[in-house]
Amino acid sequence: MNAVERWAGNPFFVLELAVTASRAEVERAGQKWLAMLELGLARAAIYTTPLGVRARTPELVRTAMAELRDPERRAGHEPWCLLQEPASVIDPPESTASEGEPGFDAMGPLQWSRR
Amino acid sequence: MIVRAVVLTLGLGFAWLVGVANREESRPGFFGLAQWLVLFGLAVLGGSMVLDGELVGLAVLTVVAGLTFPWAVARTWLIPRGHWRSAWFLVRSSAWTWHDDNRGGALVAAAWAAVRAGGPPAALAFVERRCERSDCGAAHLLATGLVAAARGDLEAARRWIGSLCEFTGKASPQMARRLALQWIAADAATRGAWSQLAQLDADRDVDAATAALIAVARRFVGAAPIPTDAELETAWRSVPQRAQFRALLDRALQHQASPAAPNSVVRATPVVDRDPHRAALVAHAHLLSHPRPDRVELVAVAQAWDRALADQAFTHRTQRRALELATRGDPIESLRARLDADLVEVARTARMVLGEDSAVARGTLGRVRRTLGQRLLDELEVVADALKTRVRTRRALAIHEEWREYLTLRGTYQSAVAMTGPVLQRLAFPCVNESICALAVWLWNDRKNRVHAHQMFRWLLSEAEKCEDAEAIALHRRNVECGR
Repeated sequence: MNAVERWAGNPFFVLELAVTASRAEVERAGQKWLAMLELGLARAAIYTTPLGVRARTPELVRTAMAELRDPERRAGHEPWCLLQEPASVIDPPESTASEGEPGFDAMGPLQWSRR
Repeated sequence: MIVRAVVLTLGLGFAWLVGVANREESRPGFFGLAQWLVLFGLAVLGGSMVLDGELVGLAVLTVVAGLTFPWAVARTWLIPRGHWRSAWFLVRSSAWTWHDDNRGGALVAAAWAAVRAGGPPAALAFVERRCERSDCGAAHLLATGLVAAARGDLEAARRWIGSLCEFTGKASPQMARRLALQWIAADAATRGAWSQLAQLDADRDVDAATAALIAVARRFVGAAPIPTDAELETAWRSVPQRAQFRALLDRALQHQASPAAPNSVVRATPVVDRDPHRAALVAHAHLLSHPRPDRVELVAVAQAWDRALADQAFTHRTQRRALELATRGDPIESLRARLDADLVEVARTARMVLGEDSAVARGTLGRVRRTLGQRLLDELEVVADALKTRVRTRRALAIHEEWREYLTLRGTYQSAVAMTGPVLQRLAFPCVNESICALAVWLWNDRKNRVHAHQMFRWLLSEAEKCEDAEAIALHRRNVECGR
């Protein structure tokens, strides 16, 4: 699993729970999303993360519930769920990088590409 | 009539075979002169037939012209139209342009025509089969690169063709180097890699088109000496395909040239937020969302996390929460581990140049640098050991595959050094040196592929000098001298 998937798959985002959610709330939220997904409700199909919108699946919900049942793993996820909104709506940090001059197709005139 | 036809056919066949036999370090060589003599005789015969009103004489003169200027005919007519078989056949007898390796030249012609034809499998297989022969010269690197380009693997094509540009002296056919330099320049211009293009040195084999592209690149990036408008115009006028480069010239003329700023330490811009934890998450999310993250952003994220981890309110909150959950491990340590894993992954994926800086050995950036350096070193050792083991067990590959192995190991080493710095270079060189030296010695002593082995020794010598490894310098100086 890469860094993006790791964060986007944070169980608190998948279950749309606050960091203070109790064990019972986790179970209730999990069952709710599973039922909604089974009914094919559009509202249940996606969830929001700081890295954008992701698809919610029954497997993801079950994995999220399992992650939050284990206190060790839950503690690892909690510091990463403070942000709930996508990062794209937050002002990006200033960047000093510049794109420079765009390219020019020199392969064609010099006949290095397909005719 | 029949006798004359047989004589003409035999004469043309003989002229082709004499051209095929040619492989001289200078031109015209013995075979080149012999070929011209035969062709001159055939031209006289063809001319007299035309004067006698025999139209067959015109066909004879056409074939004679083709055999006299094989590269010009292939380059002008056959390659642009994708006639790879005819291009290969004709260039195989080249005794002037490809006087030093017309076997390689013919492969280049076939591969280039195959690129133009859209990469027909029969053509690519034909070129690859011939590249597998052990007596291939350096020109086959260009042919192999063009085959990779025809298959759409431009990254591999850049590696192959770029490696040919490093050959110097008589090890590489002059035309092969000229074409390789042109391909590299055209590819860099197409990608917009102007800085890379501007770094191409004024090489003796650079042709007019490549020189013009380098001049434009120098203007765009402000690399000294920045060409003036008049110099750009002059360079453009010497390009045969100048009409198609007019738009690029106009862009270069409009570009306000200014000298490039000297390398300076880039300071990361801190993300301002009252809550350092939130600020770190925002910066982290932006870094992961960025399609092409750069070093400045990564440094900003590392600094933001350093501030968050130094914030007592955040650390107390996290530790209190861990106590409430009755966890055994240190929550701050596991947060650091996850954070390091993310940043190392971003740095590796984006091939970010993190460098080495003892002043920031501590903190997130220092940890990320150390972890990255260790991983790169581990990977390099795996690749180097695999090569060394194969050489020891004498499991030979075709010469172009051996060269690919060399380029892979060298590329892994160079990429690791570029991402980190001289400390890793000194640690990595001994293991790369051992493997590549073993391969080069095997190629030189047992397999007689001296062109490739010599090039490997030259590269090892240059790296040994950078690492100031006295023993390796002495060894490779001797090895390089053997190939002169």
